[in-house]
Amino acid sequence: MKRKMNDSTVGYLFILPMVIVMIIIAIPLIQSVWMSFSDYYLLSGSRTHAFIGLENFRSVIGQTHFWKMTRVTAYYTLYSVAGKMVLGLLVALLLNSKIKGKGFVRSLIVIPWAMPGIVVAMLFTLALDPAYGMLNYLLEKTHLITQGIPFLSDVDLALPVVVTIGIWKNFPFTALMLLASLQGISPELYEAGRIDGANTWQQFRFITWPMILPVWLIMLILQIVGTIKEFDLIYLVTRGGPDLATNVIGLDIYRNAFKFFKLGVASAEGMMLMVICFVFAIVYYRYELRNG
Amino acid sequence: MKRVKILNKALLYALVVIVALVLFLPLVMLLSYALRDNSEIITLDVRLFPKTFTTSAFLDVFSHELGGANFWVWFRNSCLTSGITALLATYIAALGGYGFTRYRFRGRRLFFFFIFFTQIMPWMVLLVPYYSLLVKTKMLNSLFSLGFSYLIINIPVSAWLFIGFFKNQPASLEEAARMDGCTILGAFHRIVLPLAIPSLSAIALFAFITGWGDFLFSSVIITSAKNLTLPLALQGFKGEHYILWSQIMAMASIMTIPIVALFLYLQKHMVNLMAGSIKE
Repeated sequence: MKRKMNDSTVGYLFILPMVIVMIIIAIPLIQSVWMSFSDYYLLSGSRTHAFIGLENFRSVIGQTHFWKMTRVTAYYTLYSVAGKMVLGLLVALLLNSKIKGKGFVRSLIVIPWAMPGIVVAMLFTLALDPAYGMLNYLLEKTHLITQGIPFLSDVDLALPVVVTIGIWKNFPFTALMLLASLQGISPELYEAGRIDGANTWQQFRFITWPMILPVWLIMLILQIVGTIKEFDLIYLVTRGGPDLATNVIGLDIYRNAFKFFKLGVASAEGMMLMVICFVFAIVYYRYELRNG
Repeated sequence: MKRVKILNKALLYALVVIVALVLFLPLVMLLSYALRDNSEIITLDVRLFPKTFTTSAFLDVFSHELGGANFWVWFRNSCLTSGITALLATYIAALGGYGFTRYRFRGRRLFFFFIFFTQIMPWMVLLVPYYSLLVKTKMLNSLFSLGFSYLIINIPVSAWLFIGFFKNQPASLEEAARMDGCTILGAFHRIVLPLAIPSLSAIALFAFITGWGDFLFSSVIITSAKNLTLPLALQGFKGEHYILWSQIMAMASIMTIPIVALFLYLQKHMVNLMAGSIKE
């Protein structure tokens, strides 16, 4: 049988396995939306899961720690993203300059990225220990402090510390993408800049920055949506503590769902998080379409 | 003028060294903690390098037992759940990504938007209903349920990377193969995939580490010692009143070193892929 299939049929056949996967994703997603409006409590004997309207959202906002969680999430996202974007840019610029050994350092950038989150969490937990940790030891030896700092159990320090760990783990993504984009800038542009008498700063300001800005902005959005839902690193280092000081929304959902089994409330929180991610996603999508 | 130049150069190199240390030191620390005795970690005599090197922590990792299971069981569990699903996800995503870039069909934009959307979505949102489904169907604590979740979350990401990749790939070779009487699927398997092997491996590696380092899904789905994956088993060295740090670090090294090596090996392709996927 030599029937010629038309292009769109072939296309459909190629994407068919993925479409099935998408349906499998869509079902729990829809269910999650439904759960956020229902009385879904895993431990309750009743199996009715009655529709309760916005009750779950009301209880999310009514949680005594809701505003604290919002503040912590905002703080975490803001500083973490800022760190990833600034550090990523600086490192990319540094490794794009004409120096020996940059190839070697460039290859090191993947290390934080490749290390499993739990390994990073364990390592930093030990390194930051007030008694046995290497960091405190180093600070004491250099007489910067006289007593070990309990980085992870101090209410004021824990959040900045997990922000720093998160930056270390994820800035390589930004750095590598910016580096790739820096390498795409034609050297002739700098040549022309030098002829016109531009100094290093002016070359950056008027040649480099405009050329890498599109990629930087895309990375900014990707890092925002990636950071706002971060979970495992923070959870494994502090479990949200001390006194909920590092309790970002991802941890709160996890606790509500899998510790207290309040799946309805957890879904409601999940919906809030998803809407925020979605807003940034739309911005990104629009931006991509305009450029592509 | 010349002195300023030398000073600038020196500053630049100093910065490069600092960056290198920041990137590299944690890996050194990991190994150095793994290669010393536990009593040497829980002491006020802190050192970057161990006083006496010992591989006893590694031996402990291999002989450690928990609920009738040991390292090799957990290692197998991790390989099964992350490995098989990474291969499957890569293949399915390659088909989808290829179909999307080479063919025009109705609903193409919707398809693309869905791939895009699933990457933005927090996985937590899927995990909650998935968990309740597993509870209802008594499928909790199964490696199949865990692997299935990795498969599902990996496919959209991999497809996204494949779309970026195939867009920059000319279709001429497949077309030539088709002229020679190759079927469409034959050309895909014999021409397209073999040519894509470096990028294919990078995408498979991305998919692999999703499961390999996962804590979120596994901590929710797995509940018994014999089904633990490595990230969960790592916590088995932590008791109520003690933490066996060097054993943890030894096991963490075993989990980390091969992945870092693979990342270094495939770095160029990974970066090209990611870069290709963010600028269409």
